Amino acid sequence: MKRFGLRHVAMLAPAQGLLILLIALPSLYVFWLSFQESSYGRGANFVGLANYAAIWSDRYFWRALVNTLIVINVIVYGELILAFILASIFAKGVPMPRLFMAIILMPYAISEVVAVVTWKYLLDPNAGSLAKALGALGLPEIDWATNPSHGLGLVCLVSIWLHLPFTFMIIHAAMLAVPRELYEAAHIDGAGRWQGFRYVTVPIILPAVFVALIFRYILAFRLFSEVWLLTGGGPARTTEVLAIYLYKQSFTYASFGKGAATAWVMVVISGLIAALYLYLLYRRGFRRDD
Amino acid sequence: MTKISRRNWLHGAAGGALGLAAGPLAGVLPARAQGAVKMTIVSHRVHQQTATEGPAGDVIKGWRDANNAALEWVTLDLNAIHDRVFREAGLGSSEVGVSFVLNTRAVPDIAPLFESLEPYLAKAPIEDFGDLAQGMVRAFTFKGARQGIPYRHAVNAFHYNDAFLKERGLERPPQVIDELLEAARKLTYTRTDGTKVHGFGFQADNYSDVVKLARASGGDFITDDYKCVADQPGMIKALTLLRQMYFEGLIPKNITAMKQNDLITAMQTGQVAMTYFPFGRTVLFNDPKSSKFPGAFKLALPIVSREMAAKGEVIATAEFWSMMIPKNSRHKDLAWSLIRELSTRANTVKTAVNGNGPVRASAYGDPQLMEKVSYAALEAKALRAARAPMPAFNKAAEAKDVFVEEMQASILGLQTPEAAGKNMARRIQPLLAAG
Repeated sequence: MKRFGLRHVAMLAPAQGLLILLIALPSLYVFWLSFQESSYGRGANFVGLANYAAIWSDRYFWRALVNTLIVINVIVYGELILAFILASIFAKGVPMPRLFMAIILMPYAISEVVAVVTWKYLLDPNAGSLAKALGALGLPEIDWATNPSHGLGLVCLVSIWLHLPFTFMIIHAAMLAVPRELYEAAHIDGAGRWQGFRYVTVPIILPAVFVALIFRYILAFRLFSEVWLLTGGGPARTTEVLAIYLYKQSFTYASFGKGAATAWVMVVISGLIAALYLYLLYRRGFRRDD
Repeated sequence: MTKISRRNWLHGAAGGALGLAAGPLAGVLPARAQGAVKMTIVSHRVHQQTATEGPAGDVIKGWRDANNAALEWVTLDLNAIHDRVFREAGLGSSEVGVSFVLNTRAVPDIAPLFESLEPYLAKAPIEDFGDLAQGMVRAFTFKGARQGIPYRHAVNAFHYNDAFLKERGLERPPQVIDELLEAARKLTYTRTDGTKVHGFGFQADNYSDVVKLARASGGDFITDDYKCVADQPGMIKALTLLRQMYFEGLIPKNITAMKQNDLITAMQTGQVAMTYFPFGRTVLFNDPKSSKFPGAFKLALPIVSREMAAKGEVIATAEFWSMMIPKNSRHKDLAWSLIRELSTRANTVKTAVNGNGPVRASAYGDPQLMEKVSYAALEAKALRAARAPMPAFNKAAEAKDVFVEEMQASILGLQTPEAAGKNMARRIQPLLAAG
């Protein structure tokens, strides 16, 4: 067996060094900052847990947290269901598969800002072409600017549209890797389509599903541009999510300590969510039956 | 013979490449392009526009050529500018040379981030410094040191699309607050080309327009001695009026999500008939390149109450922008040179012709300005009566957010105007006490 020596450490050092410099050290700095009172033009002043206490007692923080949890669950599971459906269709075979694959992947190539602004103008109640088309069809108006539910709903729609390609690729690749013989064996044993999906496809692709879920939860938790560019967190701060709350504390109110505390609260919550799915991944996916 | 493995080859190639690159770089001084010196300016779009575009042309082209300078304008929305300005100023060093700061953010807390301009003024003074609005200079003076040079005042006017007024049989725009509702009703209609026009629009992500309506109703937001009077009848009347106009469909439905540029576009495309904006915006509204109604937009003084109209009183709100040099800037001398250039008497007039609000008293007596800027006399009249919509204090950004939140909730019917006013006073007064 090869020993892990200095040469191996040297090989790993650049990557590890980058991770430490760009992620670990700034994270530790932000953690330290969360116990300080700090703003522009002023030095840091230690205040203990005061920032965390301030956030804990701030109703806007709780509203942002609830909004975030609702939105990320709608996004993640909505995306998962759509990705499953699309991946199943592709796994069975579609005409012109490359063209349709490109169409599905296209949103991922578009900048988030461009995509959100485009949707915003399409659904502008005064002049948006999509808004007018919905009105012409007799469908109810999407009151995203003034109704918080509609606003957050549109945020979910735009986010799913933008990030569906990511989940789709993971699920699709996992489905393609399922051995055909298993389906044949199941068919011989009398399994129908749904049973084949339930007892063959799902168990085998489950680790990939968990990986997709973990990534999407972590990324969705940081949701910012969709909300900021559509509603700005309004009206009356009713569609604010945690990332916007953090932005306001840090950069609008220049309260760096509270912003840092919010950031670490977000890290802990998203870490707990990720830990749950990592545990499930370990139990259902990668654990060897020894 | 030793076989060269792929690993050894890669190691050798990487080492060789590093060695080749290190040679030429080894003795090289910090890289400076052979070409222009690049300096960043953080500002609102209007500052760039008035300095480089418009009827008077590019005011600073000569300066750029003479100094071999390339300016990178980072233009942002009103709320985002100061986030960026202060973040940049807090770094170790920055390419930002000139930062444009609004008067409401000129609080003592930010002073340590910016250069004192006293040494620069002593070494290379600004032409006829006394001609600059000294009140604006004082607002940016901290502990006796001047730190900002005013560039633009944004005294507000009442803009209206005269073509729409004529279409609807109105001879003049509303002049008193009692007339606004009726005028907005008449001007809310669908034109023959299908354009849905709303009678009135305002910046619902800010406080300035609502404060004007409150003052026209005999009220205010925050007095000059730092008392929040949003719970008084004047502000309640303004909120009630806006709420009524919103529920009658006289204001765009998505007004709470519209930014300043969205409102400008709405005026230019005919979706809104009347609004408040700085005087100079009329240049943009009437710009044939971007407006569907060039030449149709006219100006009036902001609406007042009947009692004020009878006395000939004028209400105007004005905020102003000053140019500051961050302490961490790498281009301080170049920045000061640009500030001096923009502040000359001649260039103050030229930027005013481009739509800027001039900060020199002499500008309104300049024949070129009076000839080329049709609204100059009206603007001078408004400027004489202008007051900031909110005084400067440390927690101004939070106070603004509280105001906008409560105001939007009132307009959308989530709470009554009375509750909104009470909440504003309750939540904002402690922020004033904080400094």
